[in-house]
Amino acid sequence: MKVDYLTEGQTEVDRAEDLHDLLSSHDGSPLRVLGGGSRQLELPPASKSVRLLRLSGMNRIHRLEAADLTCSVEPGLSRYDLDAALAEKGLQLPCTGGGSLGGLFASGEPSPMTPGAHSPRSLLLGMNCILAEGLEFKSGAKVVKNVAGYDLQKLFVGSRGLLFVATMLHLKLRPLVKHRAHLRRRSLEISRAFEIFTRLRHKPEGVSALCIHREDDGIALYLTMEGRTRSGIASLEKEGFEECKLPTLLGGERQNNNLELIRGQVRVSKVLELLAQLPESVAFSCSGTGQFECQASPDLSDSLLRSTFQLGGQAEIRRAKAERRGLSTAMDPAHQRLSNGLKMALDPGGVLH
Amino acid sequence: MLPPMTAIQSLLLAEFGPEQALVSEAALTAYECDGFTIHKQRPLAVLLPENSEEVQKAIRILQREKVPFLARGAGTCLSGGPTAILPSVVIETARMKRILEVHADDLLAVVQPGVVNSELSRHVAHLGLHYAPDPSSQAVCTIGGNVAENSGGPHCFKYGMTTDHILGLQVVLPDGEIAQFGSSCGPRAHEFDLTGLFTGSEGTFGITTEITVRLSPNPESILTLLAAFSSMDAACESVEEIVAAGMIPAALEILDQGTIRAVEASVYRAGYPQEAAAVLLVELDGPADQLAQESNEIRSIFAGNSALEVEEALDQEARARLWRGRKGAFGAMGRLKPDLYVLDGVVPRTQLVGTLRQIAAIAKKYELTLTNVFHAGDGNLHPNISYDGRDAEETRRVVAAGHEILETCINAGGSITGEHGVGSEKLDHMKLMFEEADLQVMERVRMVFNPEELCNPGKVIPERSACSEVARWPQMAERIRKAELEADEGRLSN
Ligand SMILES: Cc1cc2nc3c(=O)[nH]c(=O)nc-3n(C[C@H](O)[C@H](O)[C@H](O)COP(=O)(O)OP(=O)(O)OC[C@H]3O[C@@H](n4cnc5c(N)ncnc54)[C@H](O)[C@@H]3O)c2cc1C
Repeated sequence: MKVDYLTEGQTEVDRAEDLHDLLSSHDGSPLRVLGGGSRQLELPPASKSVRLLRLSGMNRIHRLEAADLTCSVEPGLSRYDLDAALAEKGLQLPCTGGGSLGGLFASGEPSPMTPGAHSPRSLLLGMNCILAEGLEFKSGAKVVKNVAGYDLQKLFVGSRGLLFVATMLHLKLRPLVKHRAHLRRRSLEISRAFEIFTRLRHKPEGVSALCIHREDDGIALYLTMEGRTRSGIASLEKEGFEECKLPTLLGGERQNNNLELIRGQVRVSKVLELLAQLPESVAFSCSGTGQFECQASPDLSDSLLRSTFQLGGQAEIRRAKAERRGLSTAMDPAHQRLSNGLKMALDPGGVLH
Repeated sequence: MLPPMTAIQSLLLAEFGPEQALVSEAALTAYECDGFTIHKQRPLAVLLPENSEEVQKAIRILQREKVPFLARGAGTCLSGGPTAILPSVVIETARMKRILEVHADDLLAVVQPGVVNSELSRHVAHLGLHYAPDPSSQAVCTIGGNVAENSGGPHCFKYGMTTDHILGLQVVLPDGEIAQFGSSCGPRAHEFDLTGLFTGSEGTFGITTEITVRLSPNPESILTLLAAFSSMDAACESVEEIVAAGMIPAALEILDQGTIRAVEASVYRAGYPQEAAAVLLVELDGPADQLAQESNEIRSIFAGNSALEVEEALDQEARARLWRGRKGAFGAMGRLKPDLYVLDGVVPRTQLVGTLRQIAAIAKKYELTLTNVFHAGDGNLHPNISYDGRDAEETRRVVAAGHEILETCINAGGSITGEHGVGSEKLDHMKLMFEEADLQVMERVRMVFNPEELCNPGKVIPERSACSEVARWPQMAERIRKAELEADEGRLSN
């Protein structure tokens, strides 16, 4: 695992009890929580020299209730191992994202989904946690429906380990999809591609992932069809879609070290406008929910952040030199004040970085 | 002689005028409770703002005068959410019912909080869209109330709760500041998800004045089936088998015999077979060829569980009729006794049969009339106790039975509430589910939004005897102020 910020060693924790002991007697020095550490070069660097707190040893599945479509897992469990255990029972965690489960939820992974499909945010039913000061608490429940108490799970998703540490995640599952096909249509002219993209968003049945991708020879559309229907696939094939391998979003391939990876979201009706502001050579992909990824030079990423903001969207520099990672579109001032308040309330010692 | 007006009533009348500030005894009586009629408290006054600025003005005055306040939508809440615990001013959203924007291409709409849930779906129907969360009260309840409660409904089994359909919120915070959470694209990936945190906070974090919701495309086709069974076990078993076969229907709802008979004797009559011990409503949606296959599989599951009869709604009218009984079930109970206490416990779906047996035993022990209508797919039970609130002794038994039922749900690994919220009703039950540390963390979060606890005070978190946190709040407030000064634009300072 590689990090590009200052560290002062690392502690590996295997059990929630050990974490509790460690935090209860902790001297208040800065810590950064990691699962497998695979996302460290995509998240803002720690602003101080930190000790790394690795949870990859907390990797057990505590409960897998196949008939209830729920399970409870430790945060260091890898997505790969969870998927394997679920597949044996004919189940799946219906969202994209890899690495450790804790990292997947804490980083608020984007999902190349259609509107209304599951995202990590809708799958975290409850959790056991611990504050940096050592106080253990839980929120939510293990059942698929619950509104008792505040939805603190939502604070964990996307919190990047800044508020508290999760020691157990209760997850909602779905039956494994028996029939899945990935389809692609390439070399499309941009307005035609958007026409099809919009139509598919409005007729999402069976389409579980949708992505528009700028490639060397024009625009390509990728989608994943799920379910038992052959007729949907057949009609797409008739209009020129062909079966392909898993659709690849930008983040995975075509990495270029001189370029930055920007991830953001705009309303789908604004994607064309955004795209128009980028030179043709810039790699760009956008999912059915308007989440986009783009690789650009630092100058271009700055202007992309500005354009995204002007279009009412949001974006952040994800893969770049440490000092530029985490630069983002501006936050509402009241939101900023409340976010600082939450940080102070849950980590008053400012331990988690 | 009219009682003298209080100082706050006079102030609000002067600021808002008699059209927007209600202070008469007669008017205030209508606001003394919601659907949970065991808890009643008449408000000090009711304000009827029309926009965010008027809500802000009201909150600023009440904040300055240190008078507690709370929002109210349609008052259909079943847990005492919009009923004050302390003497308070109600800010009702009845005049904030404009649909501000609809963006069909982006599958979103921006609405004021007083928009009635089903009104939004009606408004966008011509675009082939709808708003998915569908509480059974959808013909009257408001989207603001739905956000506050994170409401569910029959179709939430497949499509998720209100929180899964809220992209952004404008909120007037308890100190009067206007905040923007989320965006027209949803919660922002690089910020804490305050949209998600606010949703389900039961009106204790502020008042939402504009809501950006996700609209969903209408499904290609819909198929509704009703199966009647001679036992509740067989109905529950069918639900388990449907899910075990890998199907996720849009809705899976069960009504027991008491409910069926109440419905059939009411204006909500749906033609349910009255000799059945339970009926199961299954709704499938999706591509037509898929529905045909699933419907066949489900019919054989019904046959395996000796269904007495199966009806398939062949057109929209038949479908509406089958749903009318389910959606009108609570209303139909009015025939049984003058008052109704609707419980909302959740159990793992596999525990439905055993839990329902225990619930029946509890009703018997307390000699109460109890019927069940529930979201079977989610394991979200609604044991309904019909009673006469004028009878204090019966009411005492109702409350005791309710407590025992929710304890049973917790013991089965479930929750005290799946969709109706804690409100004032389940304050005591929170301690069945959460420990002191859990409540303490919730309290810390509430203090960030609502430090003086003027906004819907006393809700969600039960009073605990010694609150060790209290001494820390002044220091925390100081730290927050310091952090604000230090905060740089893009990042959290930590
Ligand atoms: C017959 C019947 C059937 C029902 N079926 C269901 C069901 O299927 N699923 C379900 O989940 N619920 C159901 N309910 C419960 C109820 O309808 C929901 O909780 C609904 O969301 C309440 O909306 P309301 O507009 O009536 O809100 P109210 O009852 O007026 O208020 C509810 C809470 O929201 C707060 N609030 C209201 N507006 C705002 C705002 N703008 N900002 C901040 N806080 C606000 C209030 O302070 C209060 O705490 C049912 C109720 C009845 C009577």
